[in-house]
Amino acid sequence: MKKVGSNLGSGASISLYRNDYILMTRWPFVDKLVGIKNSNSATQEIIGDRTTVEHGLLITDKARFSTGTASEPRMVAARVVNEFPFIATVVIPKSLYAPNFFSHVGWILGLLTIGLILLFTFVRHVLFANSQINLELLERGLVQKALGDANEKLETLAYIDLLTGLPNRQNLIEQLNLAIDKCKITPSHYAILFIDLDNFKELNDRYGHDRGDLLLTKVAKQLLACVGSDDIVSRFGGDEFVILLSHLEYKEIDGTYTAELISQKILNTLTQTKHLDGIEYRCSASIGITIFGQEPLSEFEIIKRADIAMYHAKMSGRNTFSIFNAQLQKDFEYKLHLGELLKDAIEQNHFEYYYQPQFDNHLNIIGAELLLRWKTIEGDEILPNIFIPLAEQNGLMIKLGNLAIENAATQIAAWSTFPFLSNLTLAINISSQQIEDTNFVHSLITCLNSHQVKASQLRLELTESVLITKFEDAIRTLDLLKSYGIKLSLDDFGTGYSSLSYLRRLPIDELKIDQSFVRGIVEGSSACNLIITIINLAKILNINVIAEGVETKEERDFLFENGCFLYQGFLYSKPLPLNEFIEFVRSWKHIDPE
Amino acid sequence: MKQLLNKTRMTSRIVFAGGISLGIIFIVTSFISIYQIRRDTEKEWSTQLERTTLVVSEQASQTFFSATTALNSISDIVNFARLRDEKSYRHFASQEKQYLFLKEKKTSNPIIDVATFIADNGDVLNFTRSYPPPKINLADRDYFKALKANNSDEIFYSVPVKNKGNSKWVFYLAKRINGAQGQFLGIVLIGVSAENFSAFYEKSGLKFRERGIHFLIPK
Repeated sequence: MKKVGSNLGSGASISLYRNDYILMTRWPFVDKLVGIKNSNSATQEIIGDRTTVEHGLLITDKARFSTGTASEPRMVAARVVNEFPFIATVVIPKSLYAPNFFSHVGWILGLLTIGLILLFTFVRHVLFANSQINLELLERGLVQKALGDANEKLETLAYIDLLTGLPNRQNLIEQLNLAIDKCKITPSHYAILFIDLDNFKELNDRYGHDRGDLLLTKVAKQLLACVGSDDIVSRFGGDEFVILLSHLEYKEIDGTYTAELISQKILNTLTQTKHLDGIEYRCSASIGITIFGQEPLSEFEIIKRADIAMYHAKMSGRNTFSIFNAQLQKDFEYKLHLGELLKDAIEQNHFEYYYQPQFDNHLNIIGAELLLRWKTIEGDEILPNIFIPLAEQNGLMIKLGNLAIENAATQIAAWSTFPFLSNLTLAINISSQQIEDTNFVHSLITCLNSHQVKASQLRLELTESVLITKFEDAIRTLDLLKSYGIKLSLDDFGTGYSSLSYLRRLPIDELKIDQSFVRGIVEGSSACNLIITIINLAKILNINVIAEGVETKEERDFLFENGCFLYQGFLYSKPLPLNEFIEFVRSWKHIDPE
Repeated sequence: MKQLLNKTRMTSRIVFAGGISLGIIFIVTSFISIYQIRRDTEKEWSTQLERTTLVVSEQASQTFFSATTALNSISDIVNFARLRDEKSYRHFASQEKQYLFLKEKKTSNPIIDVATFIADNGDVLNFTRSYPPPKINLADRDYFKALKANNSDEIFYSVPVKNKGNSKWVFYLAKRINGAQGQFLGIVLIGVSAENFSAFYEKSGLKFRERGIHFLIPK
């Protein structure tokens, strides 16, 4: 029999069974199945389950899924033929009923996937946007916090000295203003202590800034320990500290008594030995005191007064304190005025040049020392021990020194045309500031060359203070000067603190015994031993030694007997103006017995 | 600033929770939908199958009723003849008149493939295919064995067999003929072609498939 309906799909069939499950016929028709009992048929299972009997019909139990001979699941329905012992069955394979179902499932799963993706994308986008906002807010918060911290830090920097942790200048000024305001309301007394460390620059130069900073921190602690809790210790700048003392008793007139006690306490404390990273250092300070509260003064005026007092203390020999008074003010203002005059004098070369002859033991004039005299335009004669420090303080020393060098070079050049002058050596004093000036050697040599002067006719006299700071640099400069043939003399030897080891390294030609020792000869003091020592030292170092300030024959004899054969002093001649000096040299030659 | 931060964090949490919830709802809804579609599919297909089996069984019932009616009418002819023994039965059934009678039954009922008188030894006495019939013995058939052995008035439905005349699949409805003493005289037989059913099933199956496809498309 021809098979029909095979296009329905494998496993689909409509069959007629006898009630003993023998297949009567089916579609599609399969020869080998017809007439055979289908003992494994799902139909048996359905028909055998009598629970599904309904109105005399045996039908499927709601058409369930089952597996047949084919591996593919099938759906089977069966029904008993009415009044005849036959059963009709219909079987459909999964391929018939499932595709649409799975198509729908596919659609649903597809839509679900798309929905989940869209949902995920949306949520992710929102969360990402939110996280960005959060980040931005956090960043903004951090920035605000950082700005807050920075402001706090700036505020700290504005009012606190970072090195010592003390209030700084600005802070002190504000506190001072508060005190001034309080004085306006309630009569009270305050004191300002202006403290400047002595020789702090030398410490820095010699041992380095680290130790300088260490000293400042130690000083700060010591100062804090010296004052009360209501007093304010501030670092004013560099090595300057300012203390604002409060609650000075009114009965103590103007409070100076308390301020003096505290100042003395500070001085005593500061002189204690301090350990500065491997070195032991003993510092001192100069303190200026001013009391305020009685008269209306600005904060700057108060600070200025304390500064003037401090300056006075410094000029008074350091390691002391000074209380501001009207005289100090006057002196200070006079010095300011004098400084202005000096500046003008240097610019216009308003100096007088004096020459004091120097002699050997045969009374030959071997040279002279150039000395500057200054008479102000107001007619006051100012001594070198006044205007030289003033020039140093006002930064005029290099210019002043250049004037002296220029004058010396001019004279040496002029003297070369006179036989009695041509062999003289002219000595000039130079200061530590000149030695430290990096341009000093160059300008000096240029000056000598421009006047065609032999360098060996110029002698530079330097004091021991030159060696205090930057010793190695000073040695290099002196070596350089020496290499040009310039003679070097160590002035005022014995008054400073030169050590022998330093002296040995100095390229000097001459030691100059200070006049204070020479004057001591007649008194028979220990100066005699010092002079003998200096002379012997010069012998050992194989350098000349000259004594200045020789005024009497006894002095000259003592020096001669002990081996000093070069002299300078009033015994032979006072400093002379140029013309008189030239005439003196000429005359001296004339009266020379030899 | 802190309030704003908390607000955005809360918004994030709400969006996240909402997203998760919505995702779960999507998934659950999808699986419920799938389950529902499966149930609907099963239900609708089972309804469809029920209807189809009803049609098929009704068709079978009608066919068998028709065949049974024809068989009974043939059997009634023999019974009305009041045949006493096997000899008189053979004589009655072998007449040309009976051939024409059988032929008429077959012509009036298209489901009948063949109608036959069979002797008590299984020989074909007369049938619709030719007259006189060729010498054919059906003693080996299940219906012959069953009806000879059992004196029953019930119709026997045979297993399908290949017709010895045309090799087509046929199954038979057979009924026993008894003599005056109730002895076995022979059998009357109606053959129904299995092809009648399968042709109908094919038409039903095709329609069923079309309907099924339409049915699965959501309305």
